[in-house]
Amino acid sequence: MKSDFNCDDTKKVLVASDLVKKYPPKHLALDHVSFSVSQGEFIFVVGRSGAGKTTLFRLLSKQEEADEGQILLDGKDITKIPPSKGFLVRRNLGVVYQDFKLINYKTVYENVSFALEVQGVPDRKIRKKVDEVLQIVDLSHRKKSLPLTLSGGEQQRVAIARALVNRPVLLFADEPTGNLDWETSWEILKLFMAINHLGTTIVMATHNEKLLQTMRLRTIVLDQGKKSDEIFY
Amino acid sequence: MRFFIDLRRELKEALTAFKRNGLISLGCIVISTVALFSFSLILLIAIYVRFGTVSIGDRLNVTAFFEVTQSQEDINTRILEIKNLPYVKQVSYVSPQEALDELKKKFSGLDIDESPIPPSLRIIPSDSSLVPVLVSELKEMEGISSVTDISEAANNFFGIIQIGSVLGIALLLIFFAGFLFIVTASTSISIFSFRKEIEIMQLVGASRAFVRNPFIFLGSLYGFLGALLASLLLLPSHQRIDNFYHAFVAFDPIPLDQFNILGQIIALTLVVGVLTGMISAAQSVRRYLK
Repeated sequence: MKSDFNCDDTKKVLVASDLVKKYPPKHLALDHVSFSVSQGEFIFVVGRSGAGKTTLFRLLSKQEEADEGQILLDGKDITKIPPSKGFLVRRNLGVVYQDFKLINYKTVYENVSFALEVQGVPDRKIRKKVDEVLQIVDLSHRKKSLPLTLSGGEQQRVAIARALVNRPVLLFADEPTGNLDWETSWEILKLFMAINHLGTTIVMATHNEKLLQTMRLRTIVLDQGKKSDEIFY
Repeated sequence: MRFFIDLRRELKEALTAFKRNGLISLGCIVISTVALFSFSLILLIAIYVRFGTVSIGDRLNVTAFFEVTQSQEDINTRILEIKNLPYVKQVSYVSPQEALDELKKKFSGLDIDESPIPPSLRIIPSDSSLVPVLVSELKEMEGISSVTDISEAANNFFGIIQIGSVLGIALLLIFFAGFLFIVTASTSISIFSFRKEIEIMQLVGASRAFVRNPFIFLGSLYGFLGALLASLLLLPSHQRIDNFYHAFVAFDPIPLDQFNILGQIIALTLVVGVLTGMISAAQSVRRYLK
């Protein structure tokens, strides 16, 4: 794991500069937030509810547009890409949410393969990639199950598998353990660490103090839309 | 090849959504059926009324009576003159004897040997709305003693037709707008139930077309099934309207059967149903697309 270095000499996967996001009428959700993430790094973004974590993730994954600032993702300025082409950016990212965001009428396999189907990947390749990723998250035996028959931890592992299946340059996890008990949270976190070991860069939002203290990774602190601190362990 | 793979996926997704949304799908079809049936029924009635009025209008002929002093030569000259008028379709001469025979047919007890009716002409105008012009022209002709003046009746008749036509078009437009609104609203409800799936599709990088196309197929399926049921309901309605029409317009100068009106309305209903379903689905899903 390469999480404990300030890697200025390594390739930057993500560079966010002076990001500003306002919501009508006068709410400043993000106020000139800047940070960068190096390849292979695992960082945390923390802050209380309303600090701007989710807004930041929405801007980074091109679900919303920044009012000001620049986002370089793998060297490409995604703020210059029109919103209608935002889906092309999201194909190179993996996103995991607190509420899993699974399609309940699709099986585990179908939920994961869906991320490849949207890209027009042929069925033969889909099968191979999905089987591989389900092995990583240890859900091969549940691939025909529907999400609602799975536990919270298993559902989150399906969401992680879906986020990983297209080999993203960067994986965003927005409070992925927010709905889980400590034991399951720890299992999920161990899975993220394993994925990070395999080379995937991870940015995770959380308010779980216990996780932060246990992991001791670089942490960006947001407070009322501003980057109030950056902790290096 | 890619096109067919995408098409297969889109159809499969549309059918899955259709089945998954069972009750809402049924509601959408029922609403489409009612709206399309009302629309096609009004259209059918409007067409029959139009044909009916044309048919009645064609019977608005004018009779011009000659002065008794007119010789057969004068009458022949006048017939030629009238035939050459641009708005005259047909002229037929009725001799006093023929007029008497017709009268005797109508009133069987009539005992007259010599016809009291002067020679006359029955004139059918090329356009029945020109009856008043024809009447005034005939009245000014030399040798014509009188003309059965149906100008007022014709004017009233065409006034009613004109009002009826305007009302019919307005009613059709109102129904069509209402139909569009209802179908769009019901399709929106159906698509609303998929908002979470739409959000997830976009999160994993689905293009707008990837998200939208299955819903367009879903909308067209609602429209098609609605139109199909509406067409089935239209069959007995058409039969009743057709029977009523033929009873009312005993002599049909324009045989309606040759136009296959029902076939054309059913084809139109299917096209309108499918197109409206597609457009309303595209419109409804648009609000969920980032």
